[in-house]
Amino acid sequence: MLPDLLMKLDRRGLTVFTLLVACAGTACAHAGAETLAGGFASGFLHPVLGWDHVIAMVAVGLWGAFLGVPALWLLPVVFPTVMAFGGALGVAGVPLPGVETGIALSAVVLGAMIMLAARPPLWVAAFIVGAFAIFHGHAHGTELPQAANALAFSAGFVIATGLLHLGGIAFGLLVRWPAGRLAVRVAGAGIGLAGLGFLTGRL
Amino acid sequence: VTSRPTLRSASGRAPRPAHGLRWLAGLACTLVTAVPAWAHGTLPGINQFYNGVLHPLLAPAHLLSLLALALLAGQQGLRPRPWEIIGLGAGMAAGALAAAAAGDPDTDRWLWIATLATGLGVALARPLPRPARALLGAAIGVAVGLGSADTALHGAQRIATLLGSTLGAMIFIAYAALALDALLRRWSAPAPRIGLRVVASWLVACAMLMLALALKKGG
Repeated sequence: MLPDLLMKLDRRGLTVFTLLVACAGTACAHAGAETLAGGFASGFLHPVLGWDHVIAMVAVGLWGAFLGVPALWLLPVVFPTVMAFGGALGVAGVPLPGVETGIALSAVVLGAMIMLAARPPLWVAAFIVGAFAIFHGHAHGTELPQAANALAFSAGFVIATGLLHLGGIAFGLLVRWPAGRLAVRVAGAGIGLAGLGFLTGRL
Repeated sequence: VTSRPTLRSASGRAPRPAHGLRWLAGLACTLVTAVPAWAHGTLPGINQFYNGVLHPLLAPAHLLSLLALALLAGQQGLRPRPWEIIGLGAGMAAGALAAAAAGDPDTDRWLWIATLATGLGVALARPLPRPARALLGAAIGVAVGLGSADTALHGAQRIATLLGSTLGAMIFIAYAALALDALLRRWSAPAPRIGLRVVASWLVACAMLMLALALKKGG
């Protein structure tokens, strides 16, 4: 197309065309695409676009809010840290059996804990959350070596995870009121049911 | 009287431009749309000193390790002495002096390990003994200093780059740690301290993943 256009231009047109091309800046429609599309955005969207990840991470925040301080912030600190360990296993290519089952099961268990208003000791809650975080991390970690920018990908999915926890915490703060407490427990039941759906392959 | 050759033909239509002119236009298009090469992440138009100043902020492993150290310094408090910053300065000086002799090694793996350790320290939020704080600062300083130059740099350019890196890292950590220290002193509510620990856990997660990736790529 461009050679045809050049053929049709006279000398003046050609001069103007060359000058315009010389003055034009480079196209930035996808500025930093190698960093964002294959990096931060991919990492950020990875947990957000997977409903099994979303409900489990929101459940962590919900349960933390339900248990109160210090679980309120301790669980969202434990989850990404242990999740990164699972991610490292995924990066290293260490096989982890039943990753998808573990992710679905995390929603079932965490949802049940919220629904039943379970209040185990803090270390037990941290252990449960941490154990399931390994499965979530492994799923993310296996995609990390393919990312155009591994650090941006990591930062993206870690931040997205944190924001999902924050969403759960925000909703979980409703437990201060009786109606809110009921709403949180109903949400926990919904998360558990969705987890069952993922576990049985219905969702 | 000789008239100037006209650009128009007898029919009044403009003649087709010569092949040479089209080639010239094509060549001009190619040249003007080319992107400048950025070897070693340097920014064009600024000299080695400023490249050095920006290096700790543009190299991901350097930036995250310094950020983790700033979080630790802010959390542990800068009074009576900012041990992390003192350690960092001493470590950077030692690393910069030893960089040439060590062959300008890639210290990213060490920095990911240091970020991991420092971030865990912040996430656990326990008071650390002064030597441990200074040692963490020194370890990060040595790794940043060793990894700030390039074997292609010699003489004044090398010195300017290393001086710039040292200054850039010190300015960054001083600002960040002072801001955090002031925030935590002014705001007695637990929220900022919790936020600090959450951010530190994110840094730990990123560092762990990057370390795993670096080890995998390194074989």
